[in-house]
Amino acid sequence: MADHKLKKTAARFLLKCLLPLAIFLGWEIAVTYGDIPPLLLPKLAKVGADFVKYSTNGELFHHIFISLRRCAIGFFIGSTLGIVFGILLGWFKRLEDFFDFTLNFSRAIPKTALAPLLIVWFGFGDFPKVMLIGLAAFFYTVIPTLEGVQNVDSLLVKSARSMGAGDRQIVFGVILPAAMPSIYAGIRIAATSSFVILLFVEIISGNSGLGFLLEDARESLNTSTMFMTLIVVGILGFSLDWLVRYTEKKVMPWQRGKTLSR
Amino acid sequence: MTKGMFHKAVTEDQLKVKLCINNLRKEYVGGTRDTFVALDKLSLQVAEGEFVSVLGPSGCGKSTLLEIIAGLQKRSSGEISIDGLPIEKSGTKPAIVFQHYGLFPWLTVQKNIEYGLKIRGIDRKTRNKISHAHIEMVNLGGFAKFYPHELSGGMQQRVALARALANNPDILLLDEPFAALDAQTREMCQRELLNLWKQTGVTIIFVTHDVGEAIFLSDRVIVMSKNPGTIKESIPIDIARPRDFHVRLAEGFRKTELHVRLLISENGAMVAIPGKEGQHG
Repeated sequence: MADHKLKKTAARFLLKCLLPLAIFLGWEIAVTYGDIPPLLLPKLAKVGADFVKYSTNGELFHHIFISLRRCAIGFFIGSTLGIVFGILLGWFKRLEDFFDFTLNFSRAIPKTALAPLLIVWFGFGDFPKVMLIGLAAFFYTVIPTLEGVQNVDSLLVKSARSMGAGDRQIVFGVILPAAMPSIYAGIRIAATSSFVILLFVEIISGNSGLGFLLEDARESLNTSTMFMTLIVVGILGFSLDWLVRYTEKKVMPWQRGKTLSR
Repeated sequence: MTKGMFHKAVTEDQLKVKLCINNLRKEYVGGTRDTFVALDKLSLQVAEGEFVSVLGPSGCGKSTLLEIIAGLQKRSSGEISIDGLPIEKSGTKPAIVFQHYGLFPWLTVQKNIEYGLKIRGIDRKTRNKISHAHIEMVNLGGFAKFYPHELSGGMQQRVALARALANNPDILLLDEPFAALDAQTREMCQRELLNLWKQTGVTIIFVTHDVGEAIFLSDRVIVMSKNPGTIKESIPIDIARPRDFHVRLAEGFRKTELHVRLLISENGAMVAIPGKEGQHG
């Protein structure tokens, strides 16, 4: 039985690998036999050689580290503030009314549109980049948190109150976990968009980071380095998404087996 | 422990008064609507260990009454006392169970049952002991580590009952607890509730729409009228206990049932069809 199951898993894994392998094969055939200038599509071997070069001289990890640090700081500060603020707004009706217009107007502006202004104000350093990511993370978490808090089943609050829970115990012990699925939906969007905005802002105003590496490669017409960076960016984005899903399962074990998808 | 052992209906003067409600009034002062009087001139005494059901047309304030007793809503005027003490000063807290269970989906069965104990700062070991005893009490042994969504409706309601009883309340308030269950599960839960009542001697106030259920379970049935909600009649149920479901076929039972149905329908909210399971609005 176990053997059969193993075979099935292996077969599925092979099936999943089929398309990526075919793409690489097609790529290799195209550059070998086709008449494609290396400036548009470099040889796979050249991309691999670039990876080895940038890895061994430490440049690649230097840029990865800088990018991830910006992304992480912006995301954590922004989403933490977003969650705290969302809970406060959801709990105090007056506060929500007070911020209603401001919040809804500000969130309607795509955060990338603020990049030029932030560059004028704060220059090309880390701060405006982190701030832009933080702003996006804030707005992507504050609204789902607020809605999550407002939609908490009043029955749960009543149950807790009838057993003697005070306001603090209700906020942390009932509202927060009850709103968690909604909060996490916000966190997921915030994480993905943090990464998107990071690359955007590094491309337009970077002197370091993965976005800078891409833009720098474009300026020196170094297509193979661009492809190398794109693959690295893809791997990082994929890992980021996996990490968010993984923590989601850890934070909300009761949600397991509740979703329709696997 | 002995209180629930009385197999005959207990009346107010036989036993100590547990809960006393005097001239209760509840009004909602709406912003746009006119002031709405949900309850008015409502007086009620419930004896220790008594099982009282509350019936009445929709909107007569049955649930409001329970939530006021549970301390979840404020009353506009009137007095409520438990064991002779005003409810604010009495140390006992009534427990309440709702139709839609109100279980915390992020807590396992065991953790749900321990919630109130944790709030009161009871240590882990004692909590563990109490929750296990109550899991056994509602016949859910083996389900301690399950999450609510993994259980059926009837099981979830038993967890809610265990959670309420784990706090060792003097008074248990039940707000249409079995209304969302199918007929077989409902009957099973009714029998289990009677067993729990007998075991614990807790005083029960049971709100329901189901006339047969109210008579079957109770020592006394209270019929309310609406606009404003107040008590219309209090009907003692003198059927010997333990009761099995064939008591529903007895003539006395059917007569009481008809009487109660007519009382409710006089309010214009329900049309009673004698001898038939009517539905209530």
